[in-house]
Amino acid sequence: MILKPINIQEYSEKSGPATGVFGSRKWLSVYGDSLTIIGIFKDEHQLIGGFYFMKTKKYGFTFLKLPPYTPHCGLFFVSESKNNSSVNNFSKEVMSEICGFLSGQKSALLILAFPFYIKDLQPFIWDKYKVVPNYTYQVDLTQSMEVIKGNFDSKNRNVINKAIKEEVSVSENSISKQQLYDFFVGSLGSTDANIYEKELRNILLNFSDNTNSFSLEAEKDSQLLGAVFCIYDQKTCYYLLGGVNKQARVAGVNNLLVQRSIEKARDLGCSVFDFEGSMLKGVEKFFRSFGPELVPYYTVNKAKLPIEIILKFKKRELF
Amino acid sequence: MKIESVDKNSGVYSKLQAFIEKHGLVFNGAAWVNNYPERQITQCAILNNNNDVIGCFFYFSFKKSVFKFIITPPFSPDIGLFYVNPSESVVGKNSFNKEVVQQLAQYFDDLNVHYININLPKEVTDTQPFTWNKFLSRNRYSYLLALKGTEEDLWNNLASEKRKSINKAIKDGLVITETSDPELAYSLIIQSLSRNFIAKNLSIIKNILASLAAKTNTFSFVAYQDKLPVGATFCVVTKSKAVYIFGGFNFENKHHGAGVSCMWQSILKAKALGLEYFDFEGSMNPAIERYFREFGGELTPYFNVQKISPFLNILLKIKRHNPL
Repeated sequence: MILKPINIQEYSEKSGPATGVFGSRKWLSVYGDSLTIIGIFKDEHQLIGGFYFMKTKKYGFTFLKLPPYTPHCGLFFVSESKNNSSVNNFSKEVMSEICGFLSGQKSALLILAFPFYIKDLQPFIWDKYKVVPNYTYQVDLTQSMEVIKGNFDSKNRNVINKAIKEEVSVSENSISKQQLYDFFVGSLGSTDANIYEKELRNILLNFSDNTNSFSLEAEKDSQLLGAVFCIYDQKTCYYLLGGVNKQARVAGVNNLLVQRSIEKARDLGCSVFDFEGSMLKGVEKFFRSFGPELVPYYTVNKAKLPIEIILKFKKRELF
Repeated sequence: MKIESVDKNSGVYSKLQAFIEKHGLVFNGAAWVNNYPERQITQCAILNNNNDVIGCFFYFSFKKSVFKFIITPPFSPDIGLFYVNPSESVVGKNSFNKEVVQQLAQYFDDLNVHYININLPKEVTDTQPFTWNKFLSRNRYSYLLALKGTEEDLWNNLASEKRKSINKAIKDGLVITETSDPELAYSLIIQSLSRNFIAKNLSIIKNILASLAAKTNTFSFVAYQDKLPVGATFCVVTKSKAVYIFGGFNFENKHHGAGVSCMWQSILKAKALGLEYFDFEGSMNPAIERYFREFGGELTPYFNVQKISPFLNILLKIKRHNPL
């Protein structure tokens, strides 16, 4: 097995539905040259898989991490094995190769998440990585909207009804991408969320079009109360960004926007609505109120000893 | 909801035993828990607001130097966390799961010990409250073999090396039989554990194997070559699966197919008992993992949560010492 850099075109052609929108050429182009894409070759010419990551430098240290706003490293690989034992062997071999490759990057700190369908991270554990579960919530959109709404927390339903009663209206793509960008920078800036302005601008202004994303805006009396931005592929719609105008003090705006996003995703033919990570306590509770299923995915973490010791105090849940 | 530790004098003890009995919880049951020294094992009940038992778990404590440790009881797959979720709606179920795990994280936090390291059952996938309480939640793995197919399906899913080993054992005249002799199983198992430097808690192993004589919830297979015992496996039977606890072989008279054949017979026995799965119960050692992998089970993650006082954590890191 050979692991070596490939370009966006090679990766996205092969990854297809496995990685969906996060493996698409347009999405990966958001990150330009800062993205490293690695192909997994069975032999010199046969590409069977791939993944990606970003390498950054800070205080003289190299950090290896996910591209901002991307939930995982886009790992996919194709196995021809049929016997269970051979499938297990092949998966173990691929993951061992990836682990060896990443360790060879000699970064001071590595934090990388894998897609939820990648379960076998044992080679990382054996190589002294910390393998930590993270979580997202997913709503099954193959059910009727009535059933989906029936699974909402009653408090959530009430607050949505209240927002509707207060004549909060929701419309699609009603503001320009630049206005949407300005809104998110403003609303996310008032929370603890990290904002990666360059990537966010690229996503909204260069990536986003009618075939891969939508935004919904909530308004009352011509005042913008909140917005969500979702991206989608054939199977899954991801809730990427959401924000509200806190000064407007209208309850239920975000709840209503999420409900409408779920409806829109269903209309688009997606079978899953993914809240794209729910690790913050407050955010998790909000997402949980929509009755989704908790889905674990796994992150591998490794740091050089002095950094690890510092992180054992500052980020005990990771190290 | 609250969590209470329960001893034999506690008012909740009989209610807890009735709950364990009702739900057929083998690892929480007295027969299993009594394998451990009473002062080191703690059984807990999860009580609802009416003081009814709605769940339970157990853990093992010990002291080393000035440090206090809490771990999964040795040779138990996990802390046996089980609870009845009364909610019917999806959101209610999720919220109840979250509340139970939050209570559990808080309970262990409040014990104020230097080292906590516990395995959660495979069914418990939500460890977020532990993370929020600054525990480190980590993946661990086991192989779970679904038994619903035919014997032929199971055979075809074995790696070819495993099939060859079993065929060679047959060709060489190895005889695989079920045993209820604890001493026989112990003699083989202890040899293997000693070779892997994990032969600790010998009295617990002896107690666990003693259950073979009673033939309740356990079975063991021994391979004989020329009437000499050369390999053994020992499994515990729960409601839906057989759990492989340990195995061993005779180092001086080893046969390549002895352990594999005992495991194969254990799998067939689990199937004959109508169980859904055969659980290889943790497969984290690379050599052992490979051995288990070739039986064709599905790699199944479960979660381990740990919290270590920063000072002890650095001490263990520097000394590269695993206290387990």
